[in-house]
Amino acid sequence: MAPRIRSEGIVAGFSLIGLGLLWMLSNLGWLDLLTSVRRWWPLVLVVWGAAELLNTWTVRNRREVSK
Amino acid sequence: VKAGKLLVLVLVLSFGAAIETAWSLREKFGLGPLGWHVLGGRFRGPSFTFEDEETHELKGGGTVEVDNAFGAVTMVPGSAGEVKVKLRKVVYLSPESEARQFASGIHLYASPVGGGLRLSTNREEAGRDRYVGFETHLEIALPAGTPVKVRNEHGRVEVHDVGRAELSNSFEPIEVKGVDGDAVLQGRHGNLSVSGVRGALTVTARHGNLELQDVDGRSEVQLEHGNLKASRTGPLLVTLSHGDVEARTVRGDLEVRGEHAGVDAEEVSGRAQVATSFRDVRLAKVDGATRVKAKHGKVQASDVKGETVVTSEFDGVTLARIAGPVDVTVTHGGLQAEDLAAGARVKSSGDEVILDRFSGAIDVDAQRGGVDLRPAGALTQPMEVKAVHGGIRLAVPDGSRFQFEAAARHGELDVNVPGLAVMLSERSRVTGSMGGGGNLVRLTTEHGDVNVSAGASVAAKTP
Repeated sequence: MAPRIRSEGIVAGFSLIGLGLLWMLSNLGWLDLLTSVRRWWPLVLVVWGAAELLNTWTVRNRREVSK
Repeated sequence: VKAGKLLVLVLVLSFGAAIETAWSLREKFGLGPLGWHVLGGRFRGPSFTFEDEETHELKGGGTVEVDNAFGAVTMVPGSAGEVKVKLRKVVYLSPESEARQFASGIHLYASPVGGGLRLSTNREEAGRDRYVGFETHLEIALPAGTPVKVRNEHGRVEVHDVGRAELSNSFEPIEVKGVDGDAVLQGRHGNLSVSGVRGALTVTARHGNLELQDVDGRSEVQLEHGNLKASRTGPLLVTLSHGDVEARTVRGDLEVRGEHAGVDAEEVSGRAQVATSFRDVRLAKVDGATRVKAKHGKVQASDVKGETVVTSEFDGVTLARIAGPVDVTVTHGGLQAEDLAAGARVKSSGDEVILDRFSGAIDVDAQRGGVDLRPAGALTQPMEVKAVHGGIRLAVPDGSRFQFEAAARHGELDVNVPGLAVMLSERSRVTGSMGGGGNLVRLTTEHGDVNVSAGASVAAKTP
């Protein structure tokens, strides 16, 4: 049986990667950190929601197969 | 809903709220840059341009010095005895009335110094009270042949037809066309282009490419993290790391001291001396002696008139049309050479040694790899070939004259040359003479075969 995906783990991972990238680009002088983070932070909620949906469907399918 | 999830949700929302608050504060209360921002070392955003123009006398014919930042400096030939300066102020502020007011506080400073003139702006004072982005571009017309000195940052420097040039710049390119005397350039994070220098040239650059053209005097280049492209220069000394050198038509000696640097040079009228690592070396049409020391990179040399000395590690050596004597030491690599006119001394390990169409005395010591020898004409010069783990093949052209000795301790001997008078023939050793004898040709291998056969004579091509 495949292990269940922890959606909050995915969210935390992607958020850290995104924040790190933006911060690095800001340090390189390629963008304004505050403006970029302010523009893109709601994406965290979108990714989390998508991960939750995927999780729910996966669990439901698994239950139907086991019946 | 699990507590962990709730905690992450609260953290994400708190983070978002903090960012939104910070952004609102910056927008409403002017905390930080408003109408402009810096992107790639340049101001961006809505801007307005204003210009001032001044003319100053230049009586003594002294140096014109310029200090600037965040703006280009352009120097072009103008009228004799005067320096005309146009200050272009680009202010990143809205509306235009506020930008104009701010620009009115930016001035040009011009002060006579030792028969010359020093030009700068009050940009430090102007930007002290208010956090506004602005650029100060200086367009200067000055008498042709005037010595100049420019220090700039974050702005292009362009200089045409001056007497002597001392230029330094960061984060933008430097372009120089026409210098009557010497030129000294320092660049960081920007490309440099230099052409038409009659005197000596000294360049120190980091993180940028350098292009040189038509430099009459000696050029000394120190470059890091950038490529050098040079053509029609005088003697050229390059110290380079993490970049490549491409040189065409060097009138004098070429010397490259490189690390992680590739070298590609053609038409060198003097000597060529190269030491580098981790990239390839190619030298062609060198009139003087050639010395190459390379690690982890291929070495190629062709059409060399002088002596050629190559030391290579971890890659092979290829030589073609070498008029002078050849001395090659190659570790963990082999040698492939053709048209060697004045003999060769070769010490190799790791791969084959192939000498095609050679003349002169030959001395080969091959540790791991065979040796293949095809002379250009009748064999009359001494030859000493030793191999440890590999065979030896020799083609003997008509008209050859030599004493002969061959030994294969743990291999086979196959000597089949019409006209070779055999004096001693044992399982692992053969001696004899050809054409009445002459210099000694000795072929010895430990673990390999020796194969000597008649071969056609092929005239060597000389550079």
